[in-house]
Amino acid sequence: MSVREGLLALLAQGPRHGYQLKGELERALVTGRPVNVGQVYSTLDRLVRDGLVTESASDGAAEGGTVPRAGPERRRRFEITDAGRAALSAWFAATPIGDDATGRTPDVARVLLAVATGTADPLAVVRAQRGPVVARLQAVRQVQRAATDLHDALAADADAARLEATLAWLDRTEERLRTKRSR
Amino acid sequence: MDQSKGTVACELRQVSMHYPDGDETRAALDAVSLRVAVGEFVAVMGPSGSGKSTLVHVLAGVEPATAGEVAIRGEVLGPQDRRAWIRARRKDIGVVYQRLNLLPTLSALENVALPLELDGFNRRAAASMAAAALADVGLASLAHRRPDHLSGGQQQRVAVARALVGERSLLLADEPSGALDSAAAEDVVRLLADRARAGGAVLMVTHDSRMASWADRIVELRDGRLTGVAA
Ligand SMILES: Nc1ncnc2c1ncn2[C@@H]1O[C@H](COP(=O)(O)OP(=O)(O)OP(=O)(O)O)[C@@H](O)[C@H]1O
Ligand SMILES: [Mg+2]
Repeated sequence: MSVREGLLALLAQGPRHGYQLKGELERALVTGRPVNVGQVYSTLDRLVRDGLVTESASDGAAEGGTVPRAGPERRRRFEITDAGRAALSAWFAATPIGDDATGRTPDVARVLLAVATGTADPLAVVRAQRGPVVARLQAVRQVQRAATDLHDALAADADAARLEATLAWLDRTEERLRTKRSR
Repeated sequence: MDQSKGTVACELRQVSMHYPDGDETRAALDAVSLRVAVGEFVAVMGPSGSGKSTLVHVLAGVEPATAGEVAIRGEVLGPQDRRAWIRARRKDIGVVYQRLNLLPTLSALENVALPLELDGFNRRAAASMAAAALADVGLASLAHRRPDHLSGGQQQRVAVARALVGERSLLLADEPSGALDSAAAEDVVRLLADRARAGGAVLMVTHDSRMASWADRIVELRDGRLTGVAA
Protein backbone atom coordinates (compact mmCIF):
# COMPACT_ATOMS: atom_id res chain seq x y z
CA MET A 1 0.00 0.00 0.00
CA SER A 2 3.04 2.30 -0.09
CA VAL A 3 2.60 3.45 3.52
CA ARG A 4 6.25 4.42 3.69
CA GLU A 5 6.17 6.64 0.60
CA GLY A 6 2.74 7.97 1.55
CA LEU A 7 4.10 9.17 4.89
CA LEU A 8 7.13 10.72 3.22
CA ALA A 9 4.95 12.51 0.66
CA LEU A 10 2.68 13.92 3.37
CA LEU A 11 5.64 15.03 5.47
CA ALA A 12 7.18 16.64 2.41
CA GLN A 13 4.22 19.03 2.48
CA GLY A 14 5.08 20.02 6.03
CA PRO A 15 5.61 18.62 9.54
CA ARG A 16 2.77 16.56 10.96
CA HIS A 17 1.68 14.95 14.17
CA GLY A 18 1.43 11.21 14.16
CA TYR A 19 -2.32 11.30 14.74
CA GLN A 20 -2.87 13.43 11.62
CA LEU A 21 -0.96 11.11 9.37
CA LYS A 22 -3.22 8.09 9.55
CA GLY A 23 -6.32 9.91 8.24
CA GLU A 24 -4.39 11.89 5.65
CA LEU A 25 -2.75 8.73 4.41
CA GLU A 26 -6.12 7.01 4.01
CA ARG A 27 -7.40 9.97 1.97
CA ALA A 28 -4.25 10.41 -0.12
CA LEU A 29 -4.00 6.76 -1.07
CA VAL A 30 -7.79 6.22 -1.23
CA THR A 31 -7.28 3.02 0.71
CA GLY A 32 -10.97 2.30 1.09
CA ARG A 33 -10.38 0.84 4.54
CA PRO A 34 -8.63 2.04 7.67
CA VAL A 35 -4.87 1.96 7.78
CA ASN A 36 -3.54 0.27 10.89
CA VAL A 37 -2.31 2.88 13.37
CA GLY A 38 0.39 0.53 14.57
CA GLN A 39 1.68 0.23 11.02
CA VAL A 40 1.82 4.01 10.71
CA TYR A 41 3.92 4.37 13.85
CA SER A 42 6.16 1.41 13.15
CA THR A 43 6.81 2.80 9.67
CA LEU A 44 7.53 6.24 11.14
CA ASP A 45 9.94 4.62 13.61
CA ARG A 46 11.78 2.94 10.73
CA LEU A 47 11.89 6.21 8.77
CA VAL A 48 13.36 7.96 11.84
CA ARG A 49 15.86 5.15 12.34
CA ASP A 50 16.92 5.45 8.66
CA GLY A 51 17.35 9.22 8.94
CA LEU A 52 14.58 10.04 6.45
CA VAL A 53 12.37 11.64 9.09
CA THR A 54 13.15 13.38 12.39
CA GLU A 55 10.98 13.47 15.43
CA SER A 56 10.47 16.50 17.58
CA ALA A 57 8.60 16.38 20.86
CA SER A 58 5.68 18.77 20.87
CA ASP A 59 2.73 19.34 23.11
CA GLY A 60 0.61 20.33 20.16
CA ALA A 61 -0.77 23.44 21.86
CA ALA A 62 1.29 25.60 19.54
CA GLU A 63 -0.62 24.14 16.58
CA GLY A 64 -3.94 25.36 17.85
CA GLY A 65 -4.52 22.82 20.57
CA THR A 66 -6.29 20.34 18.36
CA VAL A 67 -4.31 17.44 19.72
CA PRO A 68 -6.61 14.82 21.20
CA ARG A 69 -5.96 14.17 24.85
CA ALA A 70 -4.60 10.74 24.35
CA GLY A 71 -1.43 8.82 24.97
CA PRO A 72 2.00 10.29 24.35
CA GLU A 73 2.20 8.49 20.97
CA ARG A 74 -0.30 10.94 19.58
CA ARG A 75 1.75 13.99 20.49
CA ARG A 76 4.76 12.88 18.49
CA ARG A 77 5.59 15.31 15.71
CA PHE A 78 7.48 14.35 12.58
CA GLU A 79 9.46 16.25 9.97
CA ILE A 80 11.04 15.07 6.72
CA THR A 81 14.83 15.34 6.29
CA ASP A 82 16.78 16.14 3.13
CA ALA A 83 17.56 12.45 2.87
CA GLY A 84 13.83 11.77 3.14
CA ARG A 85 13.07 14.18 0.30
CA ALA A 86 15.74 12.55 -1.82
CA ALA A 87 14.30 9.08 -1.12
CA LEU A 88 10.83 10.32 -2.06
CA SER A 89 12.02 11.85 -5.35
CA ALA A 90 13.83 8.64 -6.15
CA TRP A 91 10.64 6.66 -5.52
CA PHE A 92 8.58 8.93 -7.77
CA ALA A 93 11.18 8.48 -10.50
CA ALA A 94 11.61 4.73 -9.95
CA THR A 95 9.98 2.22 -12.21
CA PRO A 96 9.32 -1.21 -10.71
CA ILE A 97 6.01 -2.77 -11.66
CA GLY A 98 4.42 -5.19 -9.25
CA ASP A 99 1.36 -5.64 -7.13
CA ASP A 100 1.06 -4.30 -3.65
CA ALA A 101 -1.41 -5.00 -0.84
CA THR A 102 -4.21 -2.94 -2.40
CA GLY A 103 -3.94 -5.09 -5.53
CA ARG A 104 -2.91 -1.93 -7.35
CA THR A 105 0.46 -1.41 -8.88
CA PRO A 106 2.81 1.10 -7.25
CA ASP A 107 2.24 3.25 -10.34
CA VAL A 108 -1.22 3.99 -9.01
CA ALA A 109 0.13 4.98 -5.59
CA ARG A 110 2.64 7.32 -7.23
CA VAL A 111 0.01 9.15 -9.20
CA LEU A 112 -2.41 9.36 -6.27
CA LEU A 113 0.28 10.70 -3.96
CA ALA A 114 1.54 13.17 -6.54
CA VAL A 115 -1.97 14.53 -7.01
CA ALA A 116 -2.84 14.48 -3.30
CA THR A 117 0.34 16.10 -1.99
CA GLY A 118 1.74 18.07 -4.91
CA THR A 119 5.18 16.73 -4.06
CA ALA A 120 5.76 15.58 -7.65
CA ASP A 121 4.31 16.65 -11.02
CA PRO A 122 1.53 14.09 -11.68
CA LEU A 123 1.83 14.39 -15.46
CA ALA A 124 5.56 13.75 -15.28
CA VAL A 125 4.92 10.77 -13.01
CA VAL A 126 2.40 9.33 -15.47
CA ARG A 127 4.73 9.78 -18.42
CA ALA A 128 7.67 8.30 -16.56
CA GLN A 129 5.59 5.25 -15.65
CA ARG A 130 4.37 4.61 -19.16
CA GLY A 131 7.76 3.96 -20.76
CA PRO A 132 8.72 0.95 -18.65
CA VAL A 133 5.21 -0.53 -18.82
CA VAL A 134 5.25 -0.26 -22.62
CA ALA A 135 8.73 -1.78 -22.68
CA ARG A 136 7.48 -4.71 -20.59
CA LEU A 137 4.49 -5.11 -22.88
CA GLN A 138 6.76 -5.01 -25.94
CA ALA A 139 8.65 -7.95 -24.44
CA VAL A 140 5.40 -9.83 -23.76
CA ARG A 141 4.34 -9.15 -27.38
CA GLN A 142 7.39 -11.07 -28.54
CA VAL A 143 6.29 -14.00 -26.39
CA GLN A 144 2.73 -13.69 -27.73
CA ARG A 145 4.03 -13.71 -31.28
CA ALA A 146 6.30 -16.66 -30.65
CA ALA A 147 3.68 -18.75 -28.83
CA THR A 148 3.11 -21.97 -30.72
CA ASP A 149 0.65 -23.70 -28.44
CA LEU A 150 -2.52 -22.64 -26.67
CA HIS A 151 -1.05 -22.95 -23.18
CA ASP A 152 1.81 -20.52 -23.90
CA ALA A 153 -0.53 -18.18 -25.73
CA LEU A 154 -2.93 -18.05 -22.77
CA ALA A 155 -0.14 -17.30 -20.29
CA ALA A 156 1.25 -14.54 -22.48
CA ASP A 157 -2.25 -13.11 -23.01
CA ALA A 158 -2.72 -12.93 -19.24
CA ASP A 159 0.53 -10.99 -18.78
CA ALA A 160 -0.37 -8.72 -21.68
CA ALA A 161 -3.87 -8.06 -20.33
CA ARG A 162 -2.53 -6.89 -16.97
CA LEU A 163 -0.03 -4.54 -18.58
CA GLU A 164 -2.65 -3.29 -21.03
CA ALA A 165 -4.95 -2.45 -18.13
CA THR A 166 -2.19 -0.42 -16.53
CA LEU A 167 -1.54 1.37 -19.82
CA ALA A 168 -5.20 2.09 -20.40
CA TRP A 169 -5.29 3.64 -16.96
CA LEU A 170 -2.12 5.70 -17.57
CA ASP A 171 -3.52 6.97 -20.90
CA ARG A 172 -6.80 7.86 -19.24
CA THR A 173 -4.99 9.56 -16.38
CA GLU A 174 -2.83 11.64 -18.68
CA GLU A 175 -5.94 12.71 -20.56
CA ARG A 176 -7.65 13.71 -17.31
CA LEU A 177 -4.62 15.54 -15.99
CA ARG A 178 -4.19 17.45 -19.23
CA THR A 179 -7.82 18.48 -19.39
CA LYS A 180 -8.17 18.76 -15.59
CA ARG A 181 -11.45 16.94 -15.85
CA SER A 182 -12.77 14.73 -13.08
CA ARG A 183 -15.46 13.14 -15.27
CA MET B 1 11.55 -8.39 -50.66
CA ASP B 2 14.63 -6.47 -49.65
CA GLN B 3 16.92 -8.72 -47.62
CA SER B 4 19.19 -5.97 -46.37
CA LYS B 5 18.03 -5.12 -42.85
CA GLY B 6 19.27 -1.75 -41.73
CA THR B 7 18.62 -0.26 -45.16
CA VAL B 8 16.49 2.85 -44.90
CA ALA B 9 12.97 2.38 -46.29
CA CYS B 10 11.92 5.97 -45.81
CA GLU B 11 13.35 9.05 -44.23
CA LEU B 12 12.33 12.53 -43.21
CA ARG B 13 15.13 15.06 -42.89
CA GLN B 14 14.30 18.23 -40.98
CA VAL B 15 10.80 18.23 -42.40
CA SER B 16 8.49 21.09 -41.48
CA MET B 17 4.91 21.66 -42.46
CA HIS B 18 3.34 25.06 -41.97
CA TYR B 19 -0.35 25.69 -42.45
CA PRO B 20 -1.69 29.21 -42.81
CA ASP B 21 -3.48 30.26 -39.65
CA GLY B 22 -5.00 33.72 -40.08
CA ASP B 23 -2.13 36.08 -40.84
CA GLU B 24 0.39 33.71 -39.36
CA THR B 25 1.40 30.14 -40.07
CA ARG B 26 1.20 27.22 -37.73
CA ALA B 27 3.72 24.39 -37.71
CA ALA B 28 1.99 21.00 -37.88
CA LEU B 29 5.48 19.49 -38.21
CA ASP B 30 8.57 21.25 -36.93
CA ALA B 31 11.96 20.05 -38.19
CA VAL B 32 11.10 16.37 -37.88
CA SER B 33 13.77 13.82 -38.74
CA LEU B 34 12.85 10.14 -38.76
CA ARG B 35 14.06 6.99 -40.45
CA VAL B 36 12.26 3.70 -40.82
CA ALA B 37 14.54 0.81 -41.71
CA VAL B 38 13.63 -2.11 -43.93
CA GLY B 39 12.09 -4.77 -41.69
CA GLU B 40 11.26 -2.28 -38.98
CA PHE B 41 7.90 -1.57 -37.37
CA VAL B 42 7.72 1.95 -35.94
CA ALA B 43 4.77 3.34 -34.02
CA VAL B 44 4.12 7.08 -33.88
CA MET B 45 2.20 8.25 -30.86
CA GLY B 46 1.07 11.65 -29.71
CA PRO B 47 -2.02 13.58 -28.67
CA SER B 48 -4.69 14.77 -31.08
CA GLY B 49 -3.42 17.58 -33.28
CA SER B 50 0.25 16.76 -32.68
CA GLY B 51 0.93 16.23 -36.40
CA LYS B 52 0.67 12.45 -36.80
CA SER B 53 -1.57 12.46 -39.87
CA THR B 54 0.44 15.29 -41.37
CA LEU B 55 3.55 13.15 -41.01
CA VAL B 56 1.84 10.27 -42.84
CA HIS B 57 0.64 12.58 -45.60
CA VAL B 58 4.12 14.00 -46.10
CA LEU B 59 5.66 10.51 -46.18
CA ALA B 60 3.04 9.39 -48.69
CA GLY B 61 3.66 12.45 -50.84
CA VAL B 62 0.04 13.56 -50.75
CA GLU B 63 0.93 16.82 -48.97
CA PRO B 64 4.19 18.52 -49.87
CA ALA B 65 6.33 19.56 -46.90
CA THR B 66 7.09 23.27 -46.66
CA ALA B 67 10.73 22.55 -45.73
CA GLY B 68 13.08 19.60 -45.49
CA GLU B 69 13.54 16.44 -47.51
CA VAL B 70 11.60 13.22 -47.89
CA ALA B 71 13.36 10.14 -49.22
CA ILE B 72 11.73 6.86 -50.22
CA ARG B 73 14.15 3.94 -50.58
CA GLY B 74 17.01 6.41 -50.67
CA GLU B 75 15.53 8.56 -53.40
CA VAL B 76 14.69 12.15 -52.45
CA LEU B 77 11.26 13.07 -53.76
CA GLY B 78 10.28 16.73 -53.78
CA PRO B 79 6.93 18.47 -54.27
CA GLN B 80 7.65 18.87 -57.97
CA ASP B 81 8.16 15.12 -58.48
CA ARG B 82 4.48 14.40 -58.85
CA ARG B 83 4.89 11.50 -61.22
CA ALA B 84 7.54 9.88 -59.07
CA TRP B 85 5.24 10.13 -56.06
CA ILE B 86 2.35 8.58 -57.96
CA ARG B 87 4.63 5.79 -59.08
CA ALA B 88 5.92 5.32 -55.52
CA ARG B 89 2.37 5.08 -54.15
CA ARG B 90 1.58 2.48 -56.80
CA LYS B 91 4.64 0.33 -56.36
CA ASP B 92 6.29 1.05 -53.03
CA ILE B 93 3.91 2.63 -50.54
CA GLY B 94 0.67 1.31 -49.11
CA VAL B 95 -1.34 3.81 -47.07
CA VAL B 96 -4.20 3.40 -44.62
CA TYR B 97 -5.62 6.91 -44.33
CA GLN B 98 -7.26 7.97 -41.09
CA ARG B 99 -10.32 8.91 -43.16
CA LEU B 100 -9.98 5.66 -45.11
CA ASN B 101 -10.64 7.25 -48.56
CA LEU B 102 -12.45 4.21 -49.95
CA LEU B 103 -14.16 4.75 -53.28
CA PRO B 104 -17.89 4.63 -52.56
CA THR B 105 -18.98 3.26 -55.94
CA LEU B 106 -16.67 0.24 -55.84
CA SER B 107 -17.09 -2.97 -53.88
CA ALA B 108 -14.63 -3.87 -51.11
CA LEU B 109 -12.92 -6.22 -53.52
CA GLU B 110 -12.70 -3.60 -56.27
CA ASN B 111 -11.32 -1.05 -53.81
CA VAL B 112 -8.55 -3.44 -52.78
CA ALA B 113 -7.85 -4.56 -56.36
CA LEU B 114 -7.63 -1.03 -57.75
CA PRO B 115 -4.03 -0.22 -56.76
CA LEU B 116 -2.93 -3.54 -58.27
CA GLU B 117 -4.69 -2.82 -61.55
CA LEU B 118 -3.13 0.64 -61.64
CA ASP B 119 0.19 -1.09 -61.13
CA GLY B 120 -0.40 -3.22 -64.22
CA PHE B 121 -1.77 -6.48 -62.85
CA ASN B 122 -4.52 -7.95 -64.99
CA ARG B 123 -8.04 -7.94 -63.61
CA ARG B 124 -8.17 -11.56 -62.70
CA ALA B 125 -4.82 -11.63 -60.85
CA ALA B 126 -5.68 -8.39 -59.05
CA ALA B 127 -9.06 -9.80 -57.98
CA SER B 128 -7.58 -12.99 -56.59
CA MET B 129 -4.85 -11.10 -54.68
CA ALA B 130 -7.49 -8.69 -53.36
CA ALA B 131 -9.68 -11.59 -52.23
CA ALA B 132 -6.75 -13.06 -50.32
CA ALA B 133 -6.00 -9.71 -48.65
CA LEU B 134 -9.64 -9.34 -47.62
CA ALA B 135 -9.56 -12.86 -46.20
CA ASP B 136 -6.48 -11.86 -44.15
CA VAL B 137 -8.49 -9.13 -42.46
CA GLY B 138 -11.48 -11.42 -41.94
CA LEU B 139 -13.73 -9.97 -44.64
CA ALA B 140 -13.82 -12.77 -47.21
CA SER B 141 -17.58 -13.04 -47.03
CA LEU B 142 -18.20 -9.30 -47.46
CA ALA B 143 -15.94 -8.76 -50.48
CA HIS B 144 -18.77 -7.72 -52.77
CA ARG B 145 -20.34 -5.13 -50.51
CA ARG B 146 -19.92 -1.46 -51.15
CA PRO B 147 -18.37 0.63 -48.34
CA ASP B 148 -21.67 2.25 -47.40
CA HIS B 149 -23.06 -1.22 -46.69
CA LEU B 150 -20.21 -2.05 -44.32
CA SER B 151 -19.75 -1.09 -40.67
CA GLY B 152 -17.07 1.44 -39.70
CA GLY B 153 -14.76 -1.30 -38.48
CA GLN B 154 -15.33 -3.36 -41.64
CA GLN B 155 -14.53 -0.34 -43.82
CA GLN B 156 -11.37 0.17 -41.81
CA ARG B 157 -10.31 -3.40 -42.50
CA VAL B 158 -10.95 -2.92 -46.23
CA ALA B 159 -8.57 0.05 -46.10
CA VAL B 160 -5.99 -2.10 -44.32
CA ALA B 161 -6.35 -4.82 -46.95
CA ARG B 162 -5.90 -2.24 -49.71
CA ALA B 163 -2.65 -1.06 -48.12
CA LEU B 164 -1.37 -4.61 -47.49
CA VAL B 165 -2.10 -6.01 -50.92
CA GLY B 166 0.75 -6.41 -53.38
CA GLU B 167 3.42 -6.41 -50.68
CA ARG B 168 4.58 -2.87 -51.22
CA SER B 169 7.78 -2.24 -49.31
CA LEU B 170 6.53 0.62 -47.13
CA LEU B 171 3.28 0.55 -45.21
CA LEU B 172 1.90 3.73 -43.64
CA ALA B 173 -1.11 3.20 -41.38
CA ASP B 174 -2.87 6.12 -39.70
CA GLU B 175 -4.91 4.85 -36.72
CA PRO B 176 -5.68 1.58 -38.53
CA SER B 177 -7.59 0.23 -35.55
CA GLY B 178 -9.51 3.31 -34.46
CA ALA B 179 -12.91 1.81 -35.24
CA LEU B 180 -12.11 -1.77 -34.23
CA ASP B 181 -12.82 -3.75 -31.09
CA SER B 182 -9.78 -5.02 -29.24
CA ALA B 183 -9.71 -8.47 -30.87
CA ALA B 184 -9.98 -7.07 -34.39
CA ALA B 185 -7.43 -4.36 -33.53
CA GLU B 186 -5.00 -7.03 -32.41
CA ASP B 187 -5.56 -8.97 -35.66
CA VAL B 188 -4.73 -5.87 -37.69
CA VAL B 189 -1.64 -4.91 -35.73
CA ARG B 190 -0.38 -8.47 -35.94
CA LEU B 191 -0.71 -8.29 -39.72
CA LEU B 192 1.39 -5.13 -39.69
CA ALA B 193 3.99 -6.72 -37.42
CA ASP B 194 4.10 -9.78 -39.71
CA ARG B 195 4.65 -7.53 -42.70
CA ALA B 196 7.65 -5.93 -40.99
CA ARG B 197 8.95 -9.36 -39.98
CA ALA B 198 8.72 -10.42 -43.63
CA GLY B 199 10.96 -7.53 -44.65
CA GLY B 200 8.52 -4.68 -45.17
CA ALA B 201 8.82 -1.37 -43.36
CA VAL B 202 5.83 -0.26 -41.34
CA LEU B 203 4.94 3.07 -39.79
CA MET B 204 1.77 3.03 -37.73
CA VAL B 205 0.14 6.04 -36.12
CA THR B 206 -1.79 5.37 -32.96
CA HIS B 207 -2.80 7.20 -29.81
CA ASP B 208 -3.11 3.87 -28.00
CA SER B 209 0.02 2.56 -26.30
CA ARG B 210 -1.45 -0.95 -26.24
CA MET B 211 -1.34 -0.93 -30.04
CA ALA B 212 2.04 0.78 -30.12
CA SER B 213 3.55 -1.95 -27.96
CA TRP B 214 3.48 -4.30 -30.96
CA ALA B 215 6.05 -2.09 -32.69
CA ASP B 216 9.82 -2.46 -32.54
CA ARG B 217 10.22 1.22 -31.78
CA ILE B 218 7.88 3.91 -30.53
CA VAL B 219 8.37 7.60 -31.22
CA GLU B 220 6.28 10.45 -29.94
CA LEU B 221 5.08 13.66 -31.56
CA ARG B 222 4.15 16.69 -29.49
CA ASP B 223 3.14 19.96 -31.12
CA GLY B 224 4.77 18.87 -34.36
CA ARG B 225 8.06 17.96 -32.74
CA LEU B 226 9.45 14.51 -32.38
CA THR B 227 10.11 14.33 -28.66
CA GLY B 228 12.18 11.23 -29.03
CA VAL B 229 11.61 7.68 -28.12
CA ALA B 230 8.66 6.83 -25.92
CA ALA B 231 9.87 3.30 -25.22
N1 LIG C 1 -5.27 21.25 -44.14
C1 LIG C 1 -4.98 21.87 -43.00
N2 LIG C 1 -5.02 23.22 -42.88
C2 LIG C 1 -4.72 23.84 -41.74
N3 LIG C 1 -4.35 23.20 -40.60
C3 LIG C 1 -4.28 21.86 -40.65
C4 LIG C 1 -4.59 21.12 -41.83
N4 LIG C 1 -4.44 19.81 -41.55
C5 LIG C 1 -4.07 19.73 -40.28
N5 LIG C 1 -3.96 20.96 -39.73
C6 LIG C 1 -3.51 21.26 -38.35
O1 LIG C 1 -2.25 20.68 -38.15
C7 LIG C 1 -2.14 20.12 -36.85
C8 LIG C 1 -1.80 18.65 -36.94
O2 LIG C 1 -2.89 17.94 -37.53
P1 LIG C 1 -2.86 16.37 -37.73
O3 LIG C 1 -4.08 16.00 -38.50
O4 LIG C 1 -1.56 15.97 -38.30
O5 LIG C 1 -2.96 15.86 -36.21
P2 LIG C 1 -3.04 14.36 -35.66
O6 LIG C 1 -1.90 14.17 -34.72
O7 LIG C 1 -3.19 13.39 -36.76
O8 LIG C 1 -4.38 14.41 -34.78
P3 LIG C 1 -5.51 13.25 -34.55
O9 LIG C 1 -4.97 12.35 -33.48
O10 LIG C 1 -6.67 14.04 -34.03
O11 LIG C 1 -5.79 12.58 -35.85
C9 LIG C 1 -3.46 20.40 -36.18
O12 LIG C 1 -3.32 21.54 -35.38
C10 LIG C 1 -4.41 20.65 -37.32
O13 LIG C 1 -5.42 21.54 -36.94
MG1 LIG D 1 -4.69 12.17 -37.38
